[in-house]
Amino acid sequence: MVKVWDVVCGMQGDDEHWHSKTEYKGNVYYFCCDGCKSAFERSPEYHLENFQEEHPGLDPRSSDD
Amino acid sequence: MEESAQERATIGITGMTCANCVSAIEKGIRKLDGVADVSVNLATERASVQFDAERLALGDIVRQIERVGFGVIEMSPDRSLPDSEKEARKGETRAQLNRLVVGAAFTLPLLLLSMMRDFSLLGPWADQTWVNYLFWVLSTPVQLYVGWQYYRGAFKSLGQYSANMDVLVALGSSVAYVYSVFVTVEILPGHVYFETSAAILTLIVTGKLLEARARSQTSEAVKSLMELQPRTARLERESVEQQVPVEQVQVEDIVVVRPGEKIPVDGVVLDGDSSVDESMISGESMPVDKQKGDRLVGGTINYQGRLRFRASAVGQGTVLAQIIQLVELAQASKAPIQRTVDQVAAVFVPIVVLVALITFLWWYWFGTGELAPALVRMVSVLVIACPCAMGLATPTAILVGTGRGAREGILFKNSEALEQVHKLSLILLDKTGTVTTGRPELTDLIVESSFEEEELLRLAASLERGSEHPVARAIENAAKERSLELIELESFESFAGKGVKGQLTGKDILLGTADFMVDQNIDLSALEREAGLLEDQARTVIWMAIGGEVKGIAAVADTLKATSREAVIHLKQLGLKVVLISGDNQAATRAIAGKIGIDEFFAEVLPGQKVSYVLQYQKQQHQVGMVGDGINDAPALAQANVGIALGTGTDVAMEAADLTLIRGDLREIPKAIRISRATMRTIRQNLSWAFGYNILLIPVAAGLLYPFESVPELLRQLHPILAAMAMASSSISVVANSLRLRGTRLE
Repeated sequence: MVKVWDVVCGMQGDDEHWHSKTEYKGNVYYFCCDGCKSAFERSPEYHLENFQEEHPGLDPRSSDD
Repeated sequence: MEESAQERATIGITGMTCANCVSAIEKGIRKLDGVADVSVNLATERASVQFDAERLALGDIVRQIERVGFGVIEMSPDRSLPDSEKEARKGETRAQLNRLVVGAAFTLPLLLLSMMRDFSLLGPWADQTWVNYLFWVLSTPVQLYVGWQYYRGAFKSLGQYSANMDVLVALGSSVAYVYSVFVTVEILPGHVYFETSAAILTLIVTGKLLEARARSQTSEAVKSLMELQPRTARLERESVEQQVPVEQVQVEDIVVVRPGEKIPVDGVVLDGDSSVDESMISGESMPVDKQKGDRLVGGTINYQGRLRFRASAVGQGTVLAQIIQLVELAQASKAPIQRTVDQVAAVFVPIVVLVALITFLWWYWFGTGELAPALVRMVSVLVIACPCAMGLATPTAILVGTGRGAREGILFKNSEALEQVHKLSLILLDKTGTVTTGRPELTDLIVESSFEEEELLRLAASLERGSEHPVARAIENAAKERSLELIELESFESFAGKGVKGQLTGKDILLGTADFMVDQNIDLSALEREAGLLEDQARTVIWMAIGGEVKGIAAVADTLKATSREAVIHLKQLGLKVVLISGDNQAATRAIAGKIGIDEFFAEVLPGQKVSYVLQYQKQQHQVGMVGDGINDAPALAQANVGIALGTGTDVAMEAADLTLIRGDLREIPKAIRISRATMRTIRQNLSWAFGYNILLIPVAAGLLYPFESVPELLRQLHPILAAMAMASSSISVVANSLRLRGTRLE
């Protein structure tokens, strides 16, 4: 189990319980719900930037396990 | 603050699935330069944005929402929608009334003349051709003016590849009308059916009028909510107080509220010490203490102290305005239910059309081979298939069912409510004021060994005499019940939200919260354990000290209504799931849920959030009945499949709800369900009576009996007498059957 962040809403969870995920530029991102996932898929750059602004230096993806 | 540049818009958003999506959108919009305030509602799928129109356009906000990854469906500056809707509803009632007047004025003479002619009561003159022309003239305004709405409805329904009642009405009446025109100008043989087409339309418009009336009342809830908003506010400008209309208050203004006054707008306390009755917003009866830094909500009532506060939201931005908006949106977004009669029509219409076509082809190929007789039979099938009493089946049953409900103390606001109640699968109960009485009552008295219970109560009541605080009233009532005589105290001092201090024979008597006692240097250890136990049961504990020593404690709590537990048992027996929902804390909510046998409950639910719970259950395919009495319940009441208000609650809740239990007795809910079931059964029976006679005559109209010479002439093909008889007997059967509802047993 790995801690991951939903870059759309900023929630923290774990990869086993979050079933919504998507791949972008070779990285897997996890989401709390399908709403967040589809929002991410429509504008990934916006949400990645936004997440970095709010959580500087934090890696939302599953770190190596 | 340039007031003129501030604009507010409502934007419909698609693609949100969870509460977190909401925050992502709110954050995204807030990033824009010029946005003053934004709130996104998951339940109504709308964003409300207040922005500076000089720095930002509505289009920029829409683009930003799309950039965050969500869809935008519609936008409207401010709230123009509900007003236009209100107008439209009022207009609809007027239009239906006009149609009924016109329909009745032409149909009655037509029906009378035509039936008298069919039964040969008018003499030979009536069989002359000009009489048919007269009938034509009489029926045309009905067909075109009254019938127009059914044509529109029929095209809309057919466009969605389904057939509703409008299709049946439009089809039946226009076939009868057009055919009769052809007969009148002697292109086709046979009888005219002008009165049939006119009677169908007029009877059905009667039912439509009753429905339109019921619908125009729903916006009343919004009107009462708006009346809660105080009209004036006391502003402090350059340390001078002045009274201004509430519209002039702006964010950051300093507002002053005196004891007993309503708080005009939302804000944050700067100084002062008071308690505020927030029951209209939170539903909780206990006043909330307010000190520096606490939030105030516009429309709530300030009790004892003077408060100075900074306005944080005004106009459309206040909590009250948002509740108003939620009610409006929930009312507007409620999906219309498919009426039983439309469900029947969806199956019936295609079958009838098919039978009519087969009749035509059969008579054309196997009959004389001529076009006219085959056409006449096809038309006969279509004419007789449209049951006039269909328009009465639902309204009469609803009328009698509603009357039956009223006798039991259950007010159904509209026919949809009566048609929906029996389908409910889940009941959401508000706690305070719904399951409980909403008025705190004295539950416990504990005294030190050296002291008397009655003495404690007498002194407490004497101290609290005349206070508006619900706890004080609970103590006073308890003293009154035991017929204790109150005494005059020598001096009296009140500490807002904390307690009171009086003197008797030179000794200080203190009454109030534990904090108050500690402030007055009283040692609480003697009764601390007992007080803790009472607080665990979600009771409010009041301490009393005399001459610096604790003498006893009294506990008050919101108590259960005697009927609540039984009501929950009945509801469960009917197979419904029951859930408790409250703005109160976990402990109090759990205590009440346990007492009435409910396993599932939600506590600490914010005003405006209840509607999300309703929506959540609706998404799980539940038919939700929401029961509540407060203003904070209004949006949820409007959103629920059936909103149930209590006659003992606020007007706003009653107007947002679909039905009201006048006595506030929850045991009336199972009764309402039984009335609804009986009414629906009656509607179904009525429809079979209405359709039945006509269905029986379809074979006659199709000419099935024609080959048999022994059958009476009347039955060998459709005659206007048959159509008239079907109309009369089905109408009588329907009305008589509806009246039976008055005697239905509800136990």
